[in-house]
Amino acid sequence: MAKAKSSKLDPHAERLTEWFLAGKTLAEARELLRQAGCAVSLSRLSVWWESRQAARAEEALLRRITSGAEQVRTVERAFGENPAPELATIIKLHRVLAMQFATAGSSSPALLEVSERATRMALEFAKLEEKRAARELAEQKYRDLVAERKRAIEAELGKARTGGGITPETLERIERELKLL
Amino acid sequence: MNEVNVIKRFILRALMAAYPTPLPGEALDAAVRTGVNPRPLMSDVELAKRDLEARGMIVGTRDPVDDSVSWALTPAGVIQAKPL
Repeated sequence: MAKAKSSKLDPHAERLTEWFLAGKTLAEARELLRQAGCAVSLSRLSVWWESRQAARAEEALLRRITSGAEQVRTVERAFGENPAPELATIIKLHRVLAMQFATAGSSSPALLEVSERATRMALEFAKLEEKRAARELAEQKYRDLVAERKRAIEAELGKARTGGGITPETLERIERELKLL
Repeated sequence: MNEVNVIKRFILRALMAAYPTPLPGEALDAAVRTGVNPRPLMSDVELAKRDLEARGMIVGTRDPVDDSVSWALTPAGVIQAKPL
């Protein structure tokens, strides 16, 4: 991936790339260049195109790495800071998979689809975890509320018992119902 | 430019592309084997990584659970990689 030296063909890079991608041969491209006022040998044109293709492939690979890293960051953000150990394992597995897909040297749509699916699955898992945590928090809040009310009623009962303002039958019934909470 | 220097240049570019996310070791190795032409020997890739690490441009962190290594650029490495 040595840095490409400047060439007199560089100003024509866009047109040359377009021609070659459209299936023009080296000889046809050389003739078109000649008509545009740039004379070049076939071997020089061939070497230039080869190096241009290598540079394009490298740029594509680096773009895939950037995209894979962005997927990894999205998943890590979704799971938040200090995730539980089992979630940390999923994050790590996703990181390895996403970056392996990105650097495997293939830009096949099928492979990219698998990579994106893995990211989507990880994000869905993160959402489920978030919901589970919210539900557990709501349940805990409910339990705390019930315990607090039970304590308050028991305190009131204590007062009534010592003040003699309640019959033993009523007291027994309230205490029985309290046990149901 | 000799082979190891070509590899070092590519490693810096690959880590810059992922920055600030570290690259798992296997992914970095795969990227180097794909991106450097001709395909380099793994011993040269290891040499390039060790040299960049010794120069304080990249850092490898080992996972205590499975012993895998992830690589990332250091601030000095970022400065070096940006113009590449």
